[in-house]
Amino acid sequence: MRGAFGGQGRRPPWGTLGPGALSPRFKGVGWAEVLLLALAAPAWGVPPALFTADQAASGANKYAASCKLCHGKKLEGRTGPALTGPNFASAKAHFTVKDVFVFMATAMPAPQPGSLPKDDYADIMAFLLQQNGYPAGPARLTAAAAQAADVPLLYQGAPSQTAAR
Amino acid sequence: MHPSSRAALASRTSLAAFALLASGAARALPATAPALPAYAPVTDGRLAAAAGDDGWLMYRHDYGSTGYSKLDQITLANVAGLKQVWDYKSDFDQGHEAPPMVNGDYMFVTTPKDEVHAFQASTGKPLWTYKHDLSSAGLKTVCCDVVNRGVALYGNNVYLATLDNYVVALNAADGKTVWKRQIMPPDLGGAMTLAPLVVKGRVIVGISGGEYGLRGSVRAFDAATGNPLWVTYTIPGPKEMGGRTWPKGDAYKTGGGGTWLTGTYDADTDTLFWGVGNPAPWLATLRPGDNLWSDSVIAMNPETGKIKWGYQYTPHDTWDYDGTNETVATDINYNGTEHKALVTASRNGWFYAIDRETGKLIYAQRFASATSVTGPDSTGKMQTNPALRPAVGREVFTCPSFLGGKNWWPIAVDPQTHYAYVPTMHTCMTIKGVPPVPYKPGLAFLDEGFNVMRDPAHPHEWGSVQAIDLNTGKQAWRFGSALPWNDGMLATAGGLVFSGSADGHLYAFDARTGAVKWKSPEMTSGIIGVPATWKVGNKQYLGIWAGWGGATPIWGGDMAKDPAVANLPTGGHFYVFSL
Repeated sequence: MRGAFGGQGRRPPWGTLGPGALSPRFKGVGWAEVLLLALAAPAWGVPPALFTADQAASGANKYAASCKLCHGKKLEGRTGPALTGPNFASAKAHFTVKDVFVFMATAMPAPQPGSLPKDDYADIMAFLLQQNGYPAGPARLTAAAAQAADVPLLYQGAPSQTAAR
Repeated sequence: MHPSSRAALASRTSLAAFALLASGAARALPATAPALPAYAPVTDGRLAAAAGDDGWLMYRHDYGSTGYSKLDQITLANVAGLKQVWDYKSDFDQGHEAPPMVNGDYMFVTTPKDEVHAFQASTGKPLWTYKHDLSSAGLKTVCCDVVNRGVALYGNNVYLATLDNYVVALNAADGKTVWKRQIMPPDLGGAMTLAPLVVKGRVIVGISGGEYGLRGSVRAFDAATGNPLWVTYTIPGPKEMGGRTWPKGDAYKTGGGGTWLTGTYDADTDTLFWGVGNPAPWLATLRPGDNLWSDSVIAMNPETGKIKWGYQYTPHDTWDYDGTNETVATDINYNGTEHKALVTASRNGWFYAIDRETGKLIYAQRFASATSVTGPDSTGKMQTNPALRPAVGREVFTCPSFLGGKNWWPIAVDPQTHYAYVPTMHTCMTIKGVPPVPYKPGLAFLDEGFNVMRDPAHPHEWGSVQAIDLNTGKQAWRFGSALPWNDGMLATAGGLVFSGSADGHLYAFDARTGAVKWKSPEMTSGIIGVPATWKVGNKQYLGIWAGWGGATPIWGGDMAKDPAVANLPTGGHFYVFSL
């Protein structure tokens, strides 16, 4: 399950806090920044890179086609809940990537649950992770990996990419 | 008071929308609106006599939940002369389901996401607005749109039940918070969308959450203080009545049984009736037994919450046939015998008359295509078709769909025609079990996949309005609709039945024949807002929200994807009419 844990081969929490433990995106960041990150983000460390930037972009298109109507153009929520932000991926909820992925792949989209190809769900999951501040990395998120990912889902702050088109 | 739960003067009126109405002529508010008299407290006596009040004092008008008004100024002969008096546009594009509650010249109406707007009922002059603070709620366990179905009135207060599980008391005169109390945190399964009911100084509410494994409950609070008085769980523990209808162990703790629509009160027997929703998870193979009191009506003592009896519409449900639909207290004559009855059009496609003193079945008749539930046995217990039960790896096609022969859209019962008016949905579904996922708070607990499809018996209609003769349970007239008909009913002593269509028109039917006597000009959205009527001075008014949404566009499968449904305009817009 390499993809599930960002290639770090380790269950969360993701190593000790410090530059050496950071995913590639954060390489070159010093201790001061790490401390700031630790204060701004939950105390359990830095999230792994679970998906690629291209995959998240593809997921954004699939989100727009199948999810946007209820969850909003910018995942802000409409008739369905917001899918980004502290109220979605909250510490209180104890959601893991697996929880949300399995829920999505079996119960969504609500009019015809489970009707999308598995890979589409993985791409949409990549987009959700990105929109909750998770970093992109070198490896795609596969459906099998997402289905097994015990990685906590916790909002990390605003994403660096733009929202759904 | 929470800093951001504030009462503020509503700041705008909405006049531009008049131009969108086909009838054309725009009207401004009268330059000198009549002065607003002091607010008249809503006493126990007034609630008990609500059937004769000029206002609309509770969700279904009166304790019997009749949806019938004795007002008769608007008649078969003059209904075609109805004109718009005032209107108001909300800030939301989700479903607007609430009827306005009216006491004297004061009106209180809610929007999606728990705003309460107070108006002068006759003129639309804004009085105050309450915006409930939902900033720390994820609304993750709100299954079917972020709706609210209205307030309750008692004393000098207005009561609201919220999506983050607060019961809030507001001062009717200025909207300031008198008290509020949270039943449970949001996002762990529970949410509230119903209008509370006040009986004997108790504010009574129910909770949604059957899709998330929440164990349902009915709860009462002291109307003056907010102190909790009793809690009755709808899914019994092992040693309670019905406890043996669940598997041994903890299944009952996540057994569902939501209570998400307003109950009915019968003063004669001092009984509170409340509908109970689907069992959880949806897939029944995971919880052997009848699973009381899911899909039932329960009769309770309003002072203690103690359950006297229950009647189950769908034993061991696996099709999401909630038993939450409103029950109406009415007297019937069936096969020559008088009965004090409770009637309801259930999600499972059957119309029931139940003895409201004993809970015994009087009759059950199909009012929509119904194959999953096959009818009562000789003891009155409903039977189901085992061949139409889904399992993991087994998909079935059955009727109605889980959206029901009727969903939450309330019926009306007219004592003049002795008919029930029933908004009806014509859908079936494929449904199958999927590999079970263990229960986790805040996530869906279904373990089924499904698709809502057309009912082969009605290939061109998603909905209809029908009249059912209460003495027989048989259809008296029917009005078919290509679009779904997701709106509640209002019957009046003027010989009329009012209901809004997804096509954006408010219809007035001849209560006896079903002939359309009037259609409003097209509103700016489809209608799911329950119509209400009231009288101020010498004039009878009608009020209704347009504002398409609710469960149909979310869960409606082929129906939701039908371009005629998918392209319905949205946006909340409240309209008031009079002669």
